[in-house]
Amino acid sequence: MKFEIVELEDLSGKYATIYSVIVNNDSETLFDKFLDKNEAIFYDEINSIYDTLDQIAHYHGARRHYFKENEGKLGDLVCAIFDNPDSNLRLYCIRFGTTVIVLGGGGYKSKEIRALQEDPKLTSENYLIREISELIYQKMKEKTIFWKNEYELGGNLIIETDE
Amino acid sequence: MSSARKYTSPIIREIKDRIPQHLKDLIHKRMSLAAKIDDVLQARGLTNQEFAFMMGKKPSEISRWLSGTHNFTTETLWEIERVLCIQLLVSSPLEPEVAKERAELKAFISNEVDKALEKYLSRKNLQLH
Repeated sequence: MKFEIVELEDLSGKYATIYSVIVNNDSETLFDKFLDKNEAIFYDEINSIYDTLDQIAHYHGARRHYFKENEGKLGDLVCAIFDNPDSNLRLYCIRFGTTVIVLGGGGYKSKEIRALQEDPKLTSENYLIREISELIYQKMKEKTIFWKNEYELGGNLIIETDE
Repeated sequence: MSSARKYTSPIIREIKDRIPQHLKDLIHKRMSLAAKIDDVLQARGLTNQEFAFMMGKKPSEISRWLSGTHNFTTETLWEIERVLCIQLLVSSPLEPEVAKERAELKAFISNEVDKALEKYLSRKNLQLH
């Protein structure tokens, strides 16, 4: 598998840099796919999530309390952002402090299910972002991905795995 | 490679361009309010659980308030103000059009009062002479 971390230039701002991931030389990012799949049914929710990210990047920074934490494995920084706690449309992401967010995919979590594992689509989106988080952490330990400055990731942002 | 490749796409551009200003203002206000409350909690060393206890709410309710998506009632904001001894509710600044209309109305009234006063004084002068 091959992942490329790209910076979303329309979203990134003074207070946070927003990235997403292109998997296997795909033509679009995981965030694009999330928008594509959900914007027809969740038009208003998508607008809210987009603007929330925009506000984070340009005014507030990725403050912890704006996110639903612990959506991945213990300590892997995977969290979710939503337009409204009651609407249950969630976008998975990795939050590195208040200055960097890597956006993954997501979807609608029905009120009839308690755990995301009960929904195959959500499970695959969540496990993909967990895997990406783990790889980024590993590459940071190897120092091939590093903090270029307080707001940006640098290094080799194309990650290839054997799988 | 030292920096990430910059990326944009038609769907991102489309969503960016279609968001109405009133929604941007609303989200900005909600997120600012949440940030303001969280700043106070941080400054006082209060956890969400402690704040929940002080407010007589569940910790999950506090997480909801601080998510930046919550539509607070004024009663809740008054209660937060009372419990934390802070000011959250402030009058919104006047819209430029309203401010302009007010200034015009003020100028008109002032002008009319001046004219009436002038008329009154000239009558009084006539009576004296």
